[in-house]
Amino acid sequence: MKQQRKQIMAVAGFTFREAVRRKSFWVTNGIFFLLILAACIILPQMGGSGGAGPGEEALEGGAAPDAGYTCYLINDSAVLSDAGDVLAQRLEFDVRPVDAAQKAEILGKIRADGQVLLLELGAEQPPEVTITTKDFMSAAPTDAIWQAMANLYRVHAFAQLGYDAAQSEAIVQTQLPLAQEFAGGTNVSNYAAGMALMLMMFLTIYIHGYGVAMSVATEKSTRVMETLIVSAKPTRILLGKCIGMGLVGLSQMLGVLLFSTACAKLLVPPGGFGPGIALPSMTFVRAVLLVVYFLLGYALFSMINSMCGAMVSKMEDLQSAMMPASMVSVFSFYGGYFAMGVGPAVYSAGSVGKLMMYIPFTAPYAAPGILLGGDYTPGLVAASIGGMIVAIVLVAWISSKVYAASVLHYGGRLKFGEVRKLIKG
Amino acid sequence: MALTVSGLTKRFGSNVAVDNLSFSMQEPGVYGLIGTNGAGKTTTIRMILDMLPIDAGEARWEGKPVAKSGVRFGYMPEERGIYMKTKVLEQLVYYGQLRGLGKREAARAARAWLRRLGVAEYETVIAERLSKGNQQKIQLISTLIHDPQLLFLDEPFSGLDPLNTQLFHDLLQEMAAGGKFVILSSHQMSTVEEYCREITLLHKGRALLQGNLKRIKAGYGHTRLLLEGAEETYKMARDGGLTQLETRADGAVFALPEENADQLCERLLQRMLAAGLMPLKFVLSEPTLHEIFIEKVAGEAGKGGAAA
Repeated sequence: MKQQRKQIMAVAGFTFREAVRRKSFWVTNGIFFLLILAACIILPQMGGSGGAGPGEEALEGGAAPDAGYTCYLINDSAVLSDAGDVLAQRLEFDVRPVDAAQKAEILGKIRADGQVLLLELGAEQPPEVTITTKDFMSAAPTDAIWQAMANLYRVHAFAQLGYDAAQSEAIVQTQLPLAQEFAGGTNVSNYAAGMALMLMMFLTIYIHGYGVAMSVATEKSTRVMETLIVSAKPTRILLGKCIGMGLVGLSQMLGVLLFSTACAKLLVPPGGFGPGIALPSMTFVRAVLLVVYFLLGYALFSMINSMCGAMVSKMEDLQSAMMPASMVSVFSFYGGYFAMGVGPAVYSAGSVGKLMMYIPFTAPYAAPGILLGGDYTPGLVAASIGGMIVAIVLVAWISSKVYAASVLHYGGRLKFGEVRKLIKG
Repeated sequence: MALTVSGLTKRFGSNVAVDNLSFSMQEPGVYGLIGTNGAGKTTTIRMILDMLPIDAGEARWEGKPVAKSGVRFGYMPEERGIYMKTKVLEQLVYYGQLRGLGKREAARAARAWLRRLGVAEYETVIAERLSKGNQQKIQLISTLIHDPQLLFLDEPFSGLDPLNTQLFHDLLQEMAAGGKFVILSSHQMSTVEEYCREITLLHKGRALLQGNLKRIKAGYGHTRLLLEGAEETYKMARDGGLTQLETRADGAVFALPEENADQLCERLLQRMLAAGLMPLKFVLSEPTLHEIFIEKVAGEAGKGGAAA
């Protein structure tokens, strides 16, 4: 037993040293650190005024937030004949009335310039409002235009009913004060941190899991493997290799997290990322659970990857052998991403997010959002971790069989049928 | 101490890679496993070392299965493999640790071997910067670092230059004299002939010939005559019924008949001396291992062809 542990730790130590010595490891870390540093320096300059929100500035008489657009107007509505004036005054648009015959020419201008839009008001009662902007990613204030036209229509409708025009307008323009609060924990800070952690988790698991496959394939292609397995059982080598690369991934992830925290504390003023954004709700238990999810996720994917590495004799075959594992990895990430994307709406309802937590492959990617949001129960986490452990044991058993049977096979890339025969034989 | 292999069998699908192979090594020395490529030599070694599951039979060291007996064994595979991007000492320490040594002990042993093989100055150099010969020395050190009792060397001399061949040669002799059990696998017959007291000749997974090499060769008797002298001596040999096989720089080689070869040669030499022809060389020899190998394997191929 002592000899087994010594061999596993020898392999893990050697794998760890080999991995951290590589230039790619330091280049990756450097890129991560630079991105974090850039985010902490640049983002507060862009969005973090730390003062008034966009609405407040307009109320104080500054420029309207949606000002600067050129609005071509085709107005067939008899009721909204003064629509151009409203747009010019309220939204500070450069309004240019045109005929329907000029529409094609206007569309060309819109395609060329995102600050140009076309507003068409129909002749029917109430008039249909059609707004043409450059594309779906356009930031044109269509809601504000639509709201302004609706309010104008209501003012005219009240006037027709005999109400005083000024009073009607005052009533229509009245805004009720709004305060939105969340009973759950998925606020914007936790959501953003969850996204960042999920991405980090995926990159670390993917890169270092791939590293395991590379390491196995290299040892096989350079024939080092034969010298290794005469000294230690394949399962011990496999385990040591996964532990070594896992430690590299874990140290990298913790390094990045510590660096991020330090940068956020030292470089970003309070509210520097914008109003309502604070440091995420990271408690000790949540941090430990995140590390557990990382380790389990890494173990699961690295075992699969090691199996792929053992099935090839030449490095150039590794890519194709890795394809199924890479697809599982990427789809699992998208599963977690999907859970995050629709998460705030459904976590508490427990559908998508919980489902992703129960699936061992997607659980490590869904976990950051759910754990930071706090909308989880101990039962959910226990079932999720239990499921992952069962999956890991199963995958490790299969991987060690395939690994032991494949590492001495040279020649073409092994197909799954051949591997099955080797395991049986 | 003894290595005993009995009834070892390995099948890959319908192909029988090793078929009921048995041999034993009762004393320290060098045992030769010879055969063509694909004869089953490497598969045999892998089964003995528990790298491949055995379909039938067993390999025992002192009565216990080799892999579980606690014997320190070393294996140098035919295909050399070292970590090219890793420093020499670091990888040797790693191999030492895998073979049960502590880190310091492994470093001490590695340094001693590096000095012994004349590559101490490369201790901190990454392996890919070494010459091929020096890389092979590193591979050999990784095999010997834990002072194994039982050694498996698969084609140890392939690709070595004469200087390194001599170095490996001396080391092999030293190990044999030092009480190590060495299994040498090769298809270079001259190598095996030089080192091995006992051999097994493998062909298509089966043992075609086994036993003490001297006795095997003695069993064939004298089969060749190397003659060097005047042209008349060659003519006299041909007239005496011998078939000239080849002409070399150091004389001519004649095949001897299977029956009464020694008497025939005695009479031939007497006739030459009587005629006043003193040959510079008159050497009777047993067949070389190479010749025995060719004869056995060709005979087996003939049987296969006839059966077909």
